[in-house]
Amino acid sequence: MTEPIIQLGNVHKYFGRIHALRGVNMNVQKGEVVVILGPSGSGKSTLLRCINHLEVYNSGKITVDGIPLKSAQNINAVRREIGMVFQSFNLFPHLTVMNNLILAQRIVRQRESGESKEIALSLLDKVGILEKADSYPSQLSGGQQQRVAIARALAMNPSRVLKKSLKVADLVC
Amino acid sequence: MPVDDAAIQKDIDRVPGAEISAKLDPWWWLVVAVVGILIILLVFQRDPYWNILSFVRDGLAITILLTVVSFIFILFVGLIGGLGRIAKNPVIRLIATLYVEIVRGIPLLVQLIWWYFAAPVVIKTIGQYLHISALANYHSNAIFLAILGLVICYGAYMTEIFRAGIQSIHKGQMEAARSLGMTYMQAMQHVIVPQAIRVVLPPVGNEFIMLIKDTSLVSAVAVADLTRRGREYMGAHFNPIEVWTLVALLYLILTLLSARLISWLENRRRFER
Repeated sequence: MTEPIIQLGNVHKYFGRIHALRGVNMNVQKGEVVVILGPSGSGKSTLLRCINHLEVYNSGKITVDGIPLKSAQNINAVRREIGMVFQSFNLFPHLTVMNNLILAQRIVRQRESGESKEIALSLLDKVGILEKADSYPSQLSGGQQQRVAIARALAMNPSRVLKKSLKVADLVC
Repeated sequence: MPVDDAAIQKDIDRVPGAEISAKLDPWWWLVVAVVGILIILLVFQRDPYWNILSFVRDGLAITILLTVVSFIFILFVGLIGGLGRIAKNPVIRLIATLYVEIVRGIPLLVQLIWWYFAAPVVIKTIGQYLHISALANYHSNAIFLAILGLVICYGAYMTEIFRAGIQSIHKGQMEAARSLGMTYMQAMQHVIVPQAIRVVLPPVGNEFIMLIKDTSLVSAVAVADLTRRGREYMGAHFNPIEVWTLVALLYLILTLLSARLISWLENRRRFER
């Protein structure tokens, strides 16, 4: 059995006096699809935000791809490998769909403009909204925006970690 | 029953005033009227007005120069200050906050006078004390000190405008950018600031127009701007009505044209919807 890609050990998270995560333990294997289910306000999003280090957890241990998050100096390197699709998608409203997909590829992955464009086009084709490449996010329906958000996360890195993490994140929506 | 698109379009076109208001933008009429009055005065009252205009022309150039050069630096200071006001580092935040609070509490005229009369003495004293001849023999330049004073004062107001603009961008935008692996500065540069610029454009435009008018205060510190040249002409020829009418019209043209330019920029940079 291989090393789990995401490991959570006894993770606690407080918002002031609210105890949001109470000792969460979880292992995610490569290729595994995990569904996190719970009523509103039960901490599903908080858990995912902790994995991406958008929230700082109070105690416990989260390891992504063998890198412990707490000590991660290179948090950007970890995030690069985790695709995240937000509940409200958070597309960049000042950029076209195409540029939403290209921006991070260019400045984080340092890909050539031609290469990143090709990746973006093939992903847009995959999620079925190729014809919306030059539209702005505000011109899309909610479902279309969600697909762009998925494509934007995927565009960063079709590596093993990303694919799986995306599946996890996908379920927040 | 099939929907008649052409008929619907016709109804939309018939919305009262929709087309007319685009054609008869009242602000353009104001610009035309003011320029018209100016031309009439220059042509039919050639004697005082044309002479005054030739006399204050270099002052007008100084006023425009002061405004444009200062404004470029003001935008720069405002951006740095705005980022400083929301920085995580408490020392940077404190410095930015102190700067804003101190500068906003002192009248611009007092600041300009301080930079022109007090600052050179301070610099010379420090130079003599530390035996740095470059500072001890510091020769003040009125225009440089005027720009410095304007930039420092307006920079504080601009800092607050940029801070508000950056904070108005939903924090999900920063999170989305960071989750894609961008650094804080990359996210600011490519995601937050470009959106904030659209938000702050109207108040920034306002500051520009205020700046045009406030440059007249530099006439108190030996800068030969439009206002000072007007005062010089009046001192020699004793015709206050003609001089100050013309000077007022020139300022009005500058501000009205700037207002048009700004609203054109705002329309251009509006989000695609």
